[in-house]
Formats: sequence, C-alpha cells, structure tokens
Amino acid sequence: MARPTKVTISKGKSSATKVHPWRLCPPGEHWKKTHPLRVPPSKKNPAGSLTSRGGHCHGNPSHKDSIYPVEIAEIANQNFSKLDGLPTPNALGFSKGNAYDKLIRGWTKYWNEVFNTKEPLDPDLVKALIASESGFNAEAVAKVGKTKNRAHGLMQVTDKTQKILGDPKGELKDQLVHVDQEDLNDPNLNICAGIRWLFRKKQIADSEAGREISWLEAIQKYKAEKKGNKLINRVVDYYKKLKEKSK
Amino acid sequence: MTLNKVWKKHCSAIFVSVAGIFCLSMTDTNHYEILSPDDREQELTDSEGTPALSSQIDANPYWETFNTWRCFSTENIRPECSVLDNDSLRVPTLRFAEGSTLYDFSIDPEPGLDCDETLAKWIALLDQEQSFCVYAAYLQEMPSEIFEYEGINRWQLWIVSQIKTQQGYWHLYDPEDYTSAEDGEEDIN
Repeated sequence: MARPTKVTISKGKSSATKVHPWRLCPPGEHWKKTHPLRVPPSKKNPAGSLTSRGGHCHGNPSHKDSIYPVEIAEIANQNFSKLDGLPTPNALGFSKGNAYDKLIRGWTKYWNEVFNTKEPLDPDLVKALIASESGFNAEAVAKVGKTKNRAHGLMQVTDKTQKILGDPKGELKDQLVHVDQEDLNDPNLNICAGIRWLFRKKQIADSEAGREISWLEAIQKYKAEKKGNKLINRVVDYYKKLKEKSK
Repeated sequence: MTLNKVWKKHCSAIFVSVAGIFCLSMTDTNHYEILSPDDREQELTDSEGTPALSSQIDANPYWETFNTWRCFSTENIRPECSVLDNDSLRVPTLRFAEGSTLYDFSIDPEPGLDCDETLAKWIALLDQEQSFCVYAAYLQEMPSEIFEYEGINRWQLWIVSQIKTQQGYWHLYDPEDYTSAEDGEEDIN
C-alpha cells in the first residue's frame, strides 16, 4: 500500500526559523505570489471568469536559502518606507543622488542582519560606491575589460557575478540571489544583489588576509575585478562628503 | 478583532483542515507499474525534508504539503496553458477529471518559462501512453461551481515537479543542476 499524501497543518507560526524577520518563507523555500487565474468560457459563463491561484512558498531544489525578484520586491514594499537613518541625504552633485536612499538603507540593514558581521556595513559607503560606479544611473552598462562580461545598473553588477549569485553549485554556500541580467536594471534588485556580492567579496578578502578587513578594503576588492584600483579614491571622496554632511 | 475577521479566520482553518483530511485519505497505488523503487525512495526521503509547498511563514494556520507520486490514466487528459495575470502569464497544466474531482496538475511560474515549449515536452512524453504518474504537492481547492464540467463537484490544484511515463521522466528542475552541490563549493570560512 502506498503512503498517503503528507499534509501538515498547525495553528500559528511554523517551527522553522526565519532567515530574517522580513522574509516571507521558511529557509529553503521561496515566495510565489498570488495570481488571478482565468477559468475557460462555458455555456453557463460564456465570458469565462476569474479565480485566484494562491500565493505560497515553494521549496528550492537546491535546499539552499535563495531570494527571488518577487520576494525582493515584496520585502522592499512592506518594510523600507518605515525605516530611517543613514544614508546621508546628500545628492553628491547627481540629479538622482538621493533617489535610492530607501533601498540602500533597507538592503544594507537586511544583509547586515543576515550576516551579522562584527563591523556592520555603513549605508553611506554603499551610497558612495553607487556614486562612483554608476553616478546613480540605474541603466548604466559598461564593458569589463576586453571580455564579453558587462557591468549593469547602479552597483555595476557584472554578468559573471549575476551567475555566481544564483548558482546553487557555485561558490556561494547560502543566501543566493536569483536575478537575471534584465533584472539588474531594476534599482531594488540591483542594490539587493550588489550588497550581497559586497559581503561575499569581504568574506573572501577576510579569508585571504587572515583577519577581518575593513569595508573600504572590501570595496577595493569589489571594484578591482572591474576597473582596477584607481577609482577607489573617488569612493573615499564621496564617503567623506557624506560624513561631513551628516555631522 | 471584528466578527467578519473571526469568521474568515475560522473558515480558513476549516477549509485547510478539510483539504488536509481529504488528501490524507487518498491512497496511491502503483497499478500502472510506472514507478521504480528509486521513485518511492525519493518520495520517502522528500517527505522527511523541506516541504514542497507551504504557506507564508507567519500565516495562521500555517500549512505544509509534500510531493507524492500519483498515477492516472491518460484518458480524457487535457494538456493546456492556464492563463494567469490577465493573459500576461501562461503556465502548463494537465487538466482531467477522475470521479467527481477535476484535477489541475500545473507548475509555478518560473523566470524564462515558455508554456508552449514545456507543454510540447509533456505531450511527447504522454504520446501513445495509457497512463502516467505525477510527482506533485497539493496547493488548494478551487471553486468548482464556476467551472462547468460534467459530474464535477470539486476542483483541485496541485503543483508538479516531475512527470513519468514508460518513456521516461520530465523534471521541473534538472537534477544535474542541483545534485552534489557541496562538491564544487569553496567554503571560505
């Protein structure tokens, strides 16, 4: 006799621990939103009708924790407008210099809390990095050296990085971010993915140095693979300007 | 809490419970002899791990469902693209009636999903077959009264991750992409 279908129901919260309080699903699952579903026309309903296919969490095939665009958007919509604090509201001379402060604030907080590093990442440093990488141009695209690899959007996330971030057999042990190339033009998805990658670069640099390095050194690592070290001074200049304004 | 909210909450609990009891009462025999001992082993292993589907973590009641193999006749089966989001999204679905239940075995929308392409693979797999098995998890009861289908009084939606016939398998995720994930991993810590 075959086993019956297993369904468990419990009152209230699941026993699973959340990766972060903002996440919608238990670890190892990702969010699928509610969709209107069209019911085909019939004699009774010649025009057809609509019903709803319910939102739910779907197990990740890799069982690793992964976040997808639908949940990234949901997290930003539900939580970011309530936050305050850094980054400093200084446009740094760019027309859209303050346009992404909420996203920078929200995703820096999220990844700081997920990774819980000794020295938290400063949202002003992320803002300074974005200023130097794209000048707050969400659709910026740049070639990376002489390769086919291209850097996209606010944080200039490369094609190569985008693949690593979502590859369950790749170098990320956990906390994968599944975005495609097109998604990288979306400021919310780009900042979420870019900061995740910055944490990974810091993790590698910490290991290489045999100590916990500073975030500025991690940014040097982040930039090095694309443009060499020349532009790191620009990040420092922007960062100083933000800190002067915040005093 | 308003009376309306209390009523909705209780209705939701009753609905999920009834659906759960219904699923628990179902048995699945391998009378088509399509499934192998490995398929059964996978079902057992998966039932002890992460659920295939669950509610949002803070939902009340919170529910989880697991993949299970179920086998059916291909008679009366309708492979089609279900239309979601006001025509902007189409997902492959195997729709058929058995007894008084109409089943939709469908997949969740995935980035880059081409409904016609997936459906063509399903149709090829089912071609000339008298029966098939699906590895699927129960999602929800649908309002059967809005679907005019003879002799039907319930309509259920299941989310499929594999289909198997005598010809072979269709997998939602290529197992090669996810097995031995630890092997190539560089753990910096």
